[in-house]
Amino acid sequence: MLEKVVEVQGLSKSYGDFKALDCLDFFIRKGECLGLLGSNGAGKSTTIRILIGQLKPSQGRVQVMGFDPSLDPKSVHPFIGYTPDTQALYDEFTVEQNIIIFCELYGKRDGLTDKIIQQVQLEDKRKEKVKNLSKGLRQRVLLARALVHEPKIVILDEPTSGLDPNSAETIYRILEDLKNAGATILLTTHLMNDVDRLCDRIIFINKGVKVEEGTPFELKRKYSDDKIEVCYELGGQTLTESLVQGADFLPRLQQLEEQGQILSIHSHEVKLEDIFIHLVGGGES
Amino acid sequence: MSSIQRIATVYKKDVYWVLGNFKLLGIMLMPILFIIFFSQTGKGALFSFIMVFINAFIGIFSTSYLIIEEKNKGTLLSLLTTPLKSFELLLAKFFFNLTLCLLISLLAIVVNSRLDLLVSPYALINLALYAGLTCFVGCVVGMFFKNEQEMSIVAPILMFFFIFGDIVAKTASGSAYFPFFPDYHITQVIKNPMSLDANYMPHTFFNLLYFLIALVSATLYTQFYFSNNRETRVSKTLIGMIGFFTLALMVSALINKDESRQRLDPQGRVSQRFVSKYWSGRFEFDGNLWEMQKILDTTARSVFVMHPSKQVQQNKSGRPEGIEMSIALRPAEKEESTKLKRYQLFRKDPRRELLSYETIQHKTHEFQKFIYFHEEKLIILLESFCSEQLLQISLDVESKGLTSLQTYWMHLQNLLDNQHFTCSRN
Repeated sequence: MLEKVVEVQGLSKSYGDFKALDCLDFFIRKGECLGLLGSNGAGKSTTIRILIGQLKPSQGRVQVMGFDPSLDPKSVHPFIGYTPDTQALYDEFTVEQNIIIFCELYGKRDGLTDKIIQQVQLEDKRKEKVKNLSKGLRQRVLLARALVHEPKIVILDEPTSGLDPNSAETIYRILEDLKNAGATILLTTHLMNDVDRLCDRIIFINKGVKVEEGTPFELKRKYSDDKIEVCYELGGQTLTESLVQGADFLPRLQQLEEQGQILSIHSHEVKLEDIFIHLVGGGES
Repeated sequence: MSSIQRIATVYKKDVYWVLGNFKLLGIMLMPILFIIFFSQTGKGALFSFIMVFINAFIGIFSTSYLIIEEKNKGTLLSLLTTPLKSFELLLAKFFFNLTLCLLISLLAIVVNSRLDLLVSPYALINLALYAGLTCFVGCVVGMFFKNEQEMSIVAPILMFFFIFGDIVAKTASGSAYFPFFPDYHITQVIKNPMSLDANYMPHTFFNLLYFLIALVSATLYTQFYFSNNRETRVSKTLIGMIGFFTLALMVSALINKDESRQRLDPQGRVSQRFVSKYWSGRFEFDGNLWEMQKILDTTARSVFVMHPSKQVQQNKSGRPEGIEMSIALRPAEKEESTKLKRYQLFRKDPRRELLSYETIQHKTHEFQKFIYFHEEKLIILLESFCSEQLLQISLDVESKGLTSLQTYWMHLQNLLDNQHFTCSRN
């Protein structure tokens, strides 16, 4: 069993009467990619802000690399690379300058800048001013900035929100490389396809409460309805029937084949979107 | 990596950021326009006002604008996820804006041909303290307000107090609540060194005190602002602040209990008491007997003694034109050392051309007599030390051409040399 680099137990955060987080428990193992999924206002960003020490929990215990960020935020910062959900960059600076500032604050050597720029595939844009870059490229600069101190844990708040598919694909390829290199990743998003591809484990939260947890495969199996769609032709009409796998399945299929011509048989695979809508209810909390 | 290196990194970042951001650069350099419009203001009150305005504008408005701009971008919090500490961030912002304040002040000094200020340590110290104070206030304002709109309402009000605070404080000093208002010292102390009035040097202490209070307050507020437990601390801070101001007002009211009816600043109160008890004056000049009229001006630091006369015509504002006589009463520390200091000051002051200095005896008083040019005026000043008080009598002669000056010079020489005036205790 790999060591737990992040451990959250009974985490609650209240703003007056409003409970942003309610008794949240989870952990992240070393080298794992965890997806924190939920609708807007579910508590994803609040959780992240507590993990990086920007917020203090109302209740519960948080440990990041063995340190409590609520007591001493600076103790966890060397281990964490964080990209916020806003594109907090100095627009007037070039890509390189934006990264160098953070390199200098971490006391890192100059050569690191080249390595990071290469890592996020921005070599040809290094002298470009950030204000002239597309949103996808800006997101890569943010990611580069989070990686300057070679953090053990990378926390990304909605990294592909508002990006076109190509830009999102590039970001996820970079994140895959990071994951393969052994980084631990915590990702919040409400875009399910990317999570399915990247995350080892997923946690669904709704109104600050954890509603489900598991690997994408486990969750899909759990929420699968085992239905098979049969499309057949009968009396010149094309009809569709959903069959549940079980004892009645084969006799019914045989019956349909005798009655008419079967055109196609599809298994109905549950997508993470479906699970998300099922658990969260599809609306903003 | 040390604190200094991190502060330097953020400082350098701010320099490049402002240079690359025309909106920010425009706001930061706006006081330059002011300097250009009011160039060659010379040595008068307008120059002091410009210096105070420049520093209040950059210190309060520009500093807070810079912080709010960065806060809204989200970069401020990103910086704090690095090893940079909140007080290092505060100091970096402070030093950046202080540099700007001092550079633009230097420009104003050069444009107005006031290079003599550069050899006056008190003027420079007070300028730096005042600029530093406003920068810390700007930092707090920048962190406190959410956006430019909110800040744009409050910052000018604060700037008003930092520019005209001395007048406000003097006017309001009759109230039992306002004597605590520190702006009297803050603004007056910057305005006076700008005029090279050495008599306000002891007030540098107050500027230093307020600067230190601002430093501590800004540091505490920054740590509070960036702390991860702000919501729960807010109530405690509010209670603490209300308690602090209540205590300050109570102490202030207690100190000023006896004098709450007198609508005068602290120095004015001392002058008033002294003058009304001991002093009256009468002298002969130009063949006439002049009676001194005590005028207690609530907005003046000293007590002026005017002389209504049939020969003196009044100008539009109702003040008599011609020779004006003033008596200023200020505490003297030790007579001999003060005498020496006064002489050295006159001798070294590049703005005062000392024509003659001597000690004269008049009745029971020994006077130091200075005759010098100051701001194109011929001044004859008599100073005497008695009962730990410095008594001054000065005669200013408006320069209205050589003939007039020579005439006045002759009359004044006659007046002083023949000791035709009398100063007596009631």
